[in-house]
Amino acid sequence: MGMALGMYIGAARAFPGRLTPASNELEKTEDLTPAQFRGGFGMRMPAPPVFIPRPPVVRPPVVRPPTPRVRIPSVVRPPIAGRPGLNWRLPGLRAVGATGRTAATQVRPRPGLTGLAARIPRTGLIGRGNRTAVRAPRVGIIRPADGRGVFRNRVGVTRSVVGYGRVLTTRGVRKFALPASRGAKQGGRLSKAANDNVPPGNGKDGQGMNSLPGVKITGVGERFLISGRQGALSAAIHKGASDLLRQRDRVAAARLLRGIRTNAYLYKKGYDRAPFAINRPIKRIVSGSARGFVRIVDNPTRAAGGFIMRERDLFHRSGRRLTAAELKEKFALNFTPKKIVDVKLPPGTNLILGYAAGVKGWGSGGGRQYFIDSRFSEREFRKIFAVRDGADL
Amino acid sequence: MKRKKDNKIKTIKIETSTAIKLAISLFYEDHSDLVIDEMPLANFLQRGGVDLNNADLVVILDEYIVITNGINTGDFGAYAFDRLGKFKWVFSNPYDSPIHTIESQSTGQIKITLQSGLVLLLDGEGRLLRKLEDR
Repeated sequence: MGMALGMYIGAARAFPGRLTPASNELEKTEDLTPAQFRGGFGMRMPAPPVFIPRPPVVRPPVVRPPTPRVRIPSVVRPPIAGRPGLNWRLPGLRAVGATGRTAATQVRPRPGLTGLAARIPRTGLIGRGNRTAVRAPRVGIIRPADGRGVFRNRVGVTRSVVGYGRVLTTRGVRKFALPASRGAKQGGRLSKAANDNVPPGNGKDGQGMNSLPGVKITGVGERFLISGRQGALSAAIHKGASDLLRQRDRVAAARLLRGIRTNAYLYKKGYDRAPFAINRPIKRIVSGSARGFVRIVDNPTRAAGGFIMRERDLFHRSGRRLTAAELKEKFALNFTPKKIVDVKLPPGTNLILGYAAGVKGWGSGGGRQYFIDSRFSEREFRKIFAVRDGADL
Repeated sequence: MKRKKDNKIKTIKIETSTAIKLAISLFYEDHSDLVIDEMPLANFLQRGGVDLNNADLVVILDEYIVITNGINTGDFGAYAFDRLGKFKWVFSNPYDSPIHTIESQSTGQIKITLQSGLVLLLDGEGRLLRKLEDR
């Protein structure tokens, strides 16, 4: 019997596909006809399978040395020489494990590197059980391709290039400005879908927003866009974001981003030059029975337009009315105004209130202005504007 | 159009769509029953994407009639047809603002002002040449 069992085991090893219990052909005996059953394989019915348990493997316990932990300094670093205003703070790291769970941890120093590079986690695909601590969403995975565009890392944290090679990023309610090169150093992969919303541009004027060199920035839950041509605006963001980074001013940061968003909204309407100062308050309001709005124009036949102001803002604090040149400077106009147009807004008109941004060659700005953000039929729109007789500037 | 007994025009009230149809009939020399491609004119325009009931502006420029889309359509483009009712060009407005005025220039260009104040210059084929900001 033992010998027969040994022969069977040997045959099972030699023909595993036919004699193993997992073979379906032998298990489905009821479905076979007697002729098929007898002559199917040309041999007699095999013995029932035998389960041979494996002896348990006893492994010695692995004693691993404790992982050295590096405490990340929470101090604000001094500005790096040659880059005034640069001042960044390594954010606390949170790691995402391979299973998707989030756990707070720190990053072990990378061997062979010193300084900042040693504390920046290496990025890339993470294998199972391999370096789960390096997938840090706060540090991000970002690679600017051509110096502009939206870049989003794999875990959904968005950073944006805001000009001058700077990256604007958001962590909680705080805003950070980092050089794009540093972001690139941190980065590994760029999500292919991250740049889908970036308009392709050939840089020519007059082709619509799809061809203008724009920078599309994505904030927390919102998208906004500024023009790549807005050098002054980019510089303001550059400086402002760096300042906010240093001062950690939440209110100013929110104001800055609101200004960027508003100008980006108007960029879609064709205003390449930022109409609103981003370091001043901007509000969206709805007009009631609004009176006292005017518009100043150079040609009475072109009375209609999107930007209006309060009539009292045409006056100096001393009571005298500002001259045409002063108004041009105050509201950053590209023409010298000659006429005042009365504006009668229908109740419920959406307005954007802000302060005129300075435009090189036009004026320094600073005047309070409103943008009509409602759509009207042509008939309604014509009714809004009425040239005031005898009100020359 | 209502006339009083003294034959003086007191008031004229025309709905927008009626005005547009009136302008079209004037342009086509009162051939309001003009049939193009075996279709009435209104159907022909509608086939080209122009909804006369939603159009906001109709401007007659020398040899063309330009019809804009209304604010309800969400697309603030313009369509031009010649006197034979033949579709000439379409201007696809890339900016998020309805068209306010359309004027022809002596140079043959077409100047379009948007409600946002933006001024666009088109060539005779409806292609965008320049964009001027206006505050």
